Amino acid sequence: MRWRKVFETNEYGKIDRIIWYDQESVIISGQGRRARSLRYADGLEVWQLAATTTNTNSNQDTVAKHCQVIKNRYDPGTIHILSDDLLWSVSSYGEMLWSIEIPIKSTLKNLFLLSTSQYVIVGSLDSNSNQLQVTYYSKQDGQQAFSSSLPWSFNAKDSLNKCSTMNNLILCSNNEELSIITIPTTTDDTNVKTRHIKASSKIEQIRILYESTTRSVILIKSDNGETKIYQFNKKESTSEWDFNELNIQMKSNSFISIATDKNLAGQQILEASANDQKLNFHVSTINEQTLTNTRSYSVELPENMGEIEYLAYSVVKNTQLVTLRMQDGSLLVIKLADNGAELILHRDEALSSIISVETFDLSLSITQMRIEEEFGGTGMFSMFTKRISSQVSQLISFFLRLLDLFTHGNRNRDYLDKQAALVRDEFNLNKILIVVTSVGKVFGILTQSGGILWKNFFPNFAPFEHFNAVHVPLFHIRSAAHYTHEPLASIVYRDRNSLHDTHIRTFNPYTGDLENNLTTSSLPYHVKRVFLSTQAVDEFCKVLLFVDTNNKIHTYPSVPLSRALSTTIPTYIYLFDKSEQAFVGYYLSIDENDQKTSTNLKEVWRVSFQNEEVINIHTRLSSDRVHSAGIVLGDRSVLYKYTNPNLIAVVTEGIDYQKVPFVNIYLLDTVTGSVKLSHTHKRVKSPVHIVLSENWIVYTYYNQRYRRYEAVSSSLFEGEAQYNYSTFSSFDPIEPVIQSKAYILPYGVNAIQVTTTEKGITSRDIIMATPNGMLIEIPWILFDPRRPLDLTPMDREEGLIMYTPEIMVNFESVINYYKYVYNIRGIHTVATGLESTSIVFAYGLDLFFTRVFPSRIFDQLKDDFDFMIIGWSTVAFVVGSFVAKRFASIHQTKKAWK
Amino acid sequence: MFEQNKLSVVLLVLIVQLQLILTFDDANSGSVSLNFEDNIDGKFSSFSKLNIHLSSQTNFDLTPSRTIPLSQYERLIDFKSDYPYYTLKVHFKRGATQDYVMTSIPMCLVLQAQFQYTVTLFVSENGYIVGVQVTTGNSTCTLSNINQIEQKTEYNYKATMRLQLNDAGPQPDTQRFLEKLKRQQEAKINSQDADNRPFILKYWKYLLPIVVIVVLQSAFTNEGGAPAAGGGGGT
Repeated sequence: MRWRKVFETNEYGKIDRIIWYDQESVIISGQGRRARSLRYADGLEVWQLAATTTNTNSNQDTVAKHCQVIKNRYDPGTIHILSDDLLWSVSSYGEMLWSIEIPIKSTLKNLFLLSTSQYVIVGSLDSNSNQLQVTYYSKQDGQQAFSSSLPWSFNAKDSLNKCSTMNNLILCSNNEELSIITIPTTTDDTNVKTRHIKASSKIEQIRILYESTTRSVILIKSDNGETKIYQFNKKESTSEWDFNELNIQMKSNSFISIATDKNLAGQQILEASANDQKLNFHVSTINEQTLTNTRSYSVELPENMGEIEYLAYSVVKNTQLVTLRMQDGSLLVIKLADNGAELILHRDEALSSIISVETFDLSLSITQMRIEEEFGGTGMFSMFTKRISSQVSQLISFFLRLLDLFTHGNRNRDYLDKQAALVRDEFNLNKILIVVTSVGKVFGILTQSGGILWKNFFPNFAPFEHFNAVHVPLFHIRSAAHYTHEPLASIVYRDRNSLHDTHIRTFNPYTGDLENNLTTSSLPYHVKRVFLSTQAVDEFCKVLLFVDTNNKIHTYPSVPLSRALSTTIPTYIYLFDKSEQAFVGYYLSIDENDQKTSTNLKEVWRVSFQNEEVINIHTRLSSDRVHSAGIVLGDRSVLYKYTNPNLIAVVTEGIDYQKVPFVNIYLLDTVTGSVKLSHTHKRVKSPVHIVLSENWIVYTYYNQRYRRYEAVSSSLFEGEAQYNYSTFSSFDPIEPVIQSKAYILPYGVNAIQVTTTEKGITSRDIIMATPNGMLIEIPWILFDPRRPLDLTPMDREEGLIMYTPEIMVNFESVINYYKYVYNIRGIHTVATGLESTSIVFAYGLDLFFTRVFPSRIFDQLKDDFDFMIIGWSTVAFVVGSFVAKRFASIHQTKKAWK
Repeated sequence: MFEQNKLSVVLLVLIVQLQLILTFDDANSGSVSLNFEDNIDGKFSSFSKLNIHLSSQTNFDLTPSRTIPLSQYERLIDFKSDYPYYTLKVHFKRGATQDYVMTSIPMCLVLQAQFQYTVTLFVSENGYIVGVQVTTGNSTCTLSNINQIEQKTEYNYKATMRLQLNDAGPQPDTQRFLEKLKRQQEAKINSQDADNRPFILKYWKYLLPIVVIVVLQSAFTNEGGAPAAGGGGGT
């Protein structure tokens, strides 16, 4: 990759249209409010222009705007942009030619933008009189020249969805009919002509394949799969067009693209269709009404990529290149040559749309497994035989390996290296990441190298909606702890076509092979929520539990609920009702002898939010460990933490009675439905990023009043005495004491997470992804809500730092150095076998993986540890002690003789 | 002319104030009517009703509208249902908005406490009830313990209610931090200024050794001959 340019994450970064020129391209973004030019050679932004508007208030930005961008075909260096009420023109050199505001009303909406050699034409729909007002503006200075109107039968929404513009034509589909409306281009000619093309069934799509001042090609796709291509030719010295159908036979799923080149005799039309793992291309030359010189190519794809989503055909210096974007997010570039088609580029762009991540430990090596086996037996005799047999097999394998080394040398070294990469290392530092992307592609990535081990594409995939984001539940069905069984992972997703159908796919995370016994696409109920059983059922496998729309709970695969869930500890489930903005808690009672595989839930609590909208829920990581129950204070007393494992954080947004926007953060207990913490922040804007761990919560938001990002940290304590030291119950009458502090953050926040270690002994660090591409590791003690403003010797004894309102970020704590990663959406942290080490995986537009050591490396030797000095000094000591011993004995003997 | 202007301004201010009070009144004083229900009869039935004014008081005592006879109390102890929970449902009505919140605790805890418990209502920013919590002061109980508790002919609800309002989230404490910095700086300056002791007192540590050296030196040079002579005499 030569260069890359990352645009803004806000609306100004959303590309509306790209207009290609020879050396550079002009990109219109932000609903037609930004124009910029990028040079192909080096990615340099040559110029940027912002639309000059007078009425840009923030409220208006939220309303869906409509934007049209066209390149003037008669003057290719000029681009006209219509953004709601703003019409402006820019030249490809970065000069703003003119900009005018067109008055709009609620009944008058600007819809179409057309251009001629002299005029820029705006078609606005007047919904009162059902007329299309056509206004002509001078191309030179934007002065309104004249206007006319014509009857219009479509409403505004249909006009946007079903109509396209081309030169001076507006094409609208109306069921089985395509209307072609010719807009007059000069003042003398006021005739509006409408002609029709009949299709065999309802028209789904109109696409303009090629457009020039004299000729255009369009494609009409009907819902029965029939595709027709029409060629339009301009009549001499009029503004009217002739059209004829091109005789081309197409498959229902094929895509069409047209390329023109100066060197080419005519235009070439490319038809592409995907068929399993094969792409088929037909290239022909357009010749009046027929196609000639048809050539067919086909190329085998390395994997199933689904259907084609985008196709572009171009001829660059006599090389025919086809660029495709596939359904699985892959970017393909295929070169068509005389000797056939060749895949020259394949990038898995799906990796930039990761929505779920899980990590699996790698499998044990054979020797490690044997050790496990060696000590696994019961009974004296079986243990003895196991021991002998395993040691014999170890000996045999040792000799076999020696033999292999002598006979084959290094020949199968590569294979062995590959195998070694899949084997767990001594400290369990290397893992396998399972990532699910929003397009339905699942990847297995080795953390050691970042290499993709396997990938699976599920074509009918659609993720679940989770507040303002999408998510796919991904579960450890069987962990890697059971070395005799391969681990298993399951994903649950909806069907792309019928959103009520739920699919379950279970696969081996090492190979990606589907486990067909645990894979289904037909659950007889509509799923509201899915979670994992607390107990393993058969062969160490956990089962999935589904809550359906009737609040009934089901297991998959079907097993009695009494086996899937603990019968001694009651199970509580909460569901969120979006229409009522209420959380409802349910209780699940399971009898030990009950063989039922599904049961009804009983409502036990309800929390409702009036006049505020829940925008996010945050739960603690399942791997969260609390090592110490309290904090030792400076006077040697203990402050006990309130570590309620049933807490969830809820973020709500609303407007109070003084019309001030606010954000509320609640900590809800999901067993009793009580509120343990509620904070109101006024004049604050979401997104709110939350970390919930141990007995504390850290959340960040944007403060509109001071225009800065802030973080609030709160800790919950039981107090000086602990209510119950052995177990925690939500029914305990504990009123947690809350301590809170707010801090100013030096950067914005894209994502936030806390480090995870195996036992939770190591101190915690907060990993924060910032919009400028940095991943910052901040020790939690900087967020500690107990940081005092005036430091007493007692606080110093405890190790507290003096309170400063701003969190200072050292550049040393940027864990990705200069490898900036942009638009990070999530951070995943995992514990390793070493207590000091936590794994961090950040994902978004870019991926970044590293290890962090929140308390430094306390359980490892440093890289520069001098083994030689230790070795030699040991040897020296041993030798020295022998020598000393000898001297001592001689001395003793001499003494005895005295 | 001027007077008239002044009058109109005053009037305007008054109107604005009135409007402010009205809007404030409209949103905040609207009392909340609460209706408490529980499930000890097997279905939800009301046992207390209450109208409260927000922001005036946070602790209330519930006045029960019914009592629990001994027979029902004993029946509850024998409760062998698969739903061993005491559920409290609080219906609230504020203006046109009407909804309910609910919570549950093990029935046994309530029986043990003889229907004496604390209800905490969580009130949101806009004055709506978000959630409810019931605490009895215990977290575990066994039914056998309850049987030993002295028997009464009738049991009365003894519930107290507490309102918990949303806390205002903390703000970065820049003000106090800056004040502290200022104080520190001032203290530093003061300590420098206040040191207007005489030169001798201030630097006696450095002066003393010099003085001692000088004194000693002069003493040695003065007595230089005499001790040396004395020494000579000795030998």
